[in-house]
Amino acid sequence: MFSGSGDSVTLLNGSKVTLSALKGSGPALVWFVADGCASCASSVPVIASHLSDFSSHGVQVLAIGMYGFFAPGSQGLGELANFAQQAESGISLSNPAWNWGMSSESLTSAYDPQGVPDAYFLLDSSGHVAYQDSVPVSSIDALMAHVKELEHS
Amino acid sequence: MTTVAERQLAPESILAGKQAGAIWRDLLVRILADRSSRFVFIASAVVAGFVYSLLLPFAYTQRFSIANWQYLDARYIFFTVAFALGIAWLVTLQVFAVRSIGRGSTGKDTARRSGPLGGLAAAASLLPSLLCCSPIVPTLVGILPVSVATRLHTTGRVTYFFATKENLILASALVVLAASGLWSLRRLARSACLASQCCVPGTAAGESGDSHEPATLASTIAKTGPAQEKESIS
Repeated sequence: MFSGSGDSVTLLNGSKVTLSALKGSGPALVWFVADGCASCASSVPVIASHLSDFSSHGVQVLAIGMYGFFAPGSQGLGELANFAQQAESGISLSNPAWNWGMSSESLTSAYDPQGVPDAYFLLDSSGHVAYQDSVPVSSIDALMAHVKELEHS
Repeated sequence: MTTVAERQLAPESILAGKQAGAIWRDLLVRILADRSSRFVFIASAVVAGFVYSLLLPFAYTQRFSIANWQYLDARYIFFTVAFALGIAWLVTLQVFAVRSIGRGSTGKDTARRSGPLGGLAAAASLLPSLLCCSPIVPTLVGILPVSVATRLHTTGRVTYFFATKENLILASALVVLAASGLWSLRRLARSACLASQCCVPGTAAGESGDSHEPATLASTIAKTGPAQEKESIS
């Protein structure tokens, strides 16, 4: 769906990855969260509790702070980490099954041009959107059903 | 009840205030004693409470679902109960006014004027839940002719504002709702010609005979006595 150097995500450890680089490495769940978004916060523990399921189906989870909803730079990364920790105390952000990072402007505007928080996109191995919805806490069953379908397709 | 000394020393306004207090109390007692009003109050409170219990935590699920109840904390329970009681009281007052007051009297005016303020408070109380994280703010901001970056920043700021000021907005809406309830009660107590029987036949101005000074419930009670006035209302 998206390619180019603009689709970058700055991870909490400061390193940058691009969604384009994920192509070929397996399916991925790209989930946009926002500071102050209650449904994003209530979705964090739900996604966390399904990490092993995602992992068993080869789906890498990318929880991305939306551009414009966090401060720029390292301050935004701190806000994102705080957001995750407040959403679920004791949560491990270093779990290899998911990655947390801040979105570039072009990535947010490409996937979520309206800027609606808590939207997510399930990408297949070729980077195409296989399923999209919002608010994982309310749609986790449908999401997991599509994750299973992804494996069979 | 005022003493002779009080009548001699107290200003007119104090006596009027005491009389107004008695009128409020009398009206309150009549509403509470009315079986239909009690039913309206309880039914409205139950419906409003149910709706609020689903809508206040709406932001957590973005769904109008019973599942929202798992996000009802002490704060939301307090606001749910408070708004349910406030709205039920407003509805009860308006139903009472409509039932008690004949068509074309100022009582209709009472109901009409208290409606927007109460509605405004009810709508404001739902803003944090409905505007945070839903597509409403992004859609509204999307109308603005600004760049994508500005649009995202603006949406983020507006969403964050409603998320972080939720308690303040809910408390403010509750104050407005309470004020609206008191205002409605006051207007109802002061309305002229609460029933067609109160008015002097042939004049809508009331029994004072002064066409510029409508008879209030106060003057009605003062001249007829509470018992007679009660009969004329019901």
